[in-house]
Amino acid sequence: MTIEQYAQQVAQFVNHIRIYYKSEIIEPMGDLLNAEVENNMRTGGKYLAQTSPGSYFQTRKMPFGKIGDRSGKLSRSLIPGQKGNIFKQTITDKKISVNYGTKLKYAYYNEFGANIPANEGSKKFFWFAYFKTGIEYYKNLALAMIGGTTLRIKPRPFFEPGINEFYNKDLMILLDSFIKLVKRKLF
Amino acid sequence: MAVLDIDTEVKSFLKITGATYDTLITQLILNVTNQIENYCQQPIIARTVQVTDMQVDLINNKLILLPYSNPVSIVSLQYKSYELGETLETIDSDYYEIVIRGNVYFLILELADNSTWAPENYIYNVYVEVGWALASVPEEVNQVAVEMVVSLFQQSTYGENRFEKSTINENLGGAALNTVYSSSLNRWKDILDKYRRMTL
Repeated sequence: MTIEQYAQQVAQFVNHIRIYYKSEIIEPMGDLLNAEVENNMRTGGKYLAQTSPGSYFQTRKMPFGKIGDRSGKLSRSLIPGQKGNIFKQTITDKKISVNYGTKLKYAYYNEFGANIPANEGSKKFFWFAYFKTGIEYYKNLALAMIGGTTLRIKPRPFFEPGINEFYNKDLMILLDSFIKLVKRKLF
Repeated sequence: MAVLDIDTEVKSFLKITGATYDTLITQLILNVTNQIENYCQQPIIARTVQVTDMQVDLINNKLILLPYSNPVSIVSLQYKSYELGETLETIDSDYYEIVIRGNVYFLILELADNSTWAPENYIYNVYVEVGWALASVPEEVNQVAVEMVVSLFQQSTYGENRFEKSTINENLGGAALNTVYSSSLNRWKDILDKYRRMTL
């Protein structure tokens, strides 16, 4: 075998690796990330209670219903290719990075919670609205008020736990199937 | 007031006849009732309480939110006005009613025709009866109470002696008795959460 032939074979090998990498890892990765995050949204997020500043524990029960079940916009924005979704791979010689997420701003409030300034009038309005309409949404808002000055949205992390589950469970399966395919096809 | 009937609900469950353990079981039932009511922060067995943290002034003092989620009925309602000085005036039951939304109780003042509720009048004393009669306590609350009493009874010296297993640490389904109690706590709390008072 000449050097040229050898170099050609190496180039073909690298090319095959790239193709398999795309089909076996990158393409399923978006769907798996979406599945793990969506799974957490269905259970209402991994609700955390703060025991002391900086210290959290997971409570036994989710306080509210599902995340993103009103318009479905947040759920859709987590599907790769859909509007509002971020799914971008950058491959360099030494590093492969994948950006996955949503552009919707209120995803942040679900994930990390928020304290929104409000006044006593808002609380009364929420109770009155609940009295008039009977819609549970207003009751939850009224009960989320702290001392009539702050509307507290409790953190319901759904994204980060989903990503962690992907890292701990799905990524190894993907890599495993990739390695098996490479071994089967190229060696 | 106890949440359980000792004979029909506890002793029959434990298959106990005779009065040997009555004092202990009665004490445990009272203890469990207190624990449940403390957790729920409102009476389970109906009794009269004064409402201290109601939300008033929802519409010109005429719509009042009561913080209880268990059945509520008004015992008495008094208001104070500047005109009457320190005198408390009782409002007749014809002029108010309770409206329920979900498990939230609203009290509405419905004044006689052509009369207006002066803005300076304010509701002063509200006494309500909260809770259920012993016979109509929700089944799931009853079940939690029975499980708590039985679990506490089994942990007692009487319970261990009765089962002749005082020397064995693991004597209930293969788990230590105190483990049974603590592992069931979360399940009991999940059930009782529905009956907790609202924090307004």
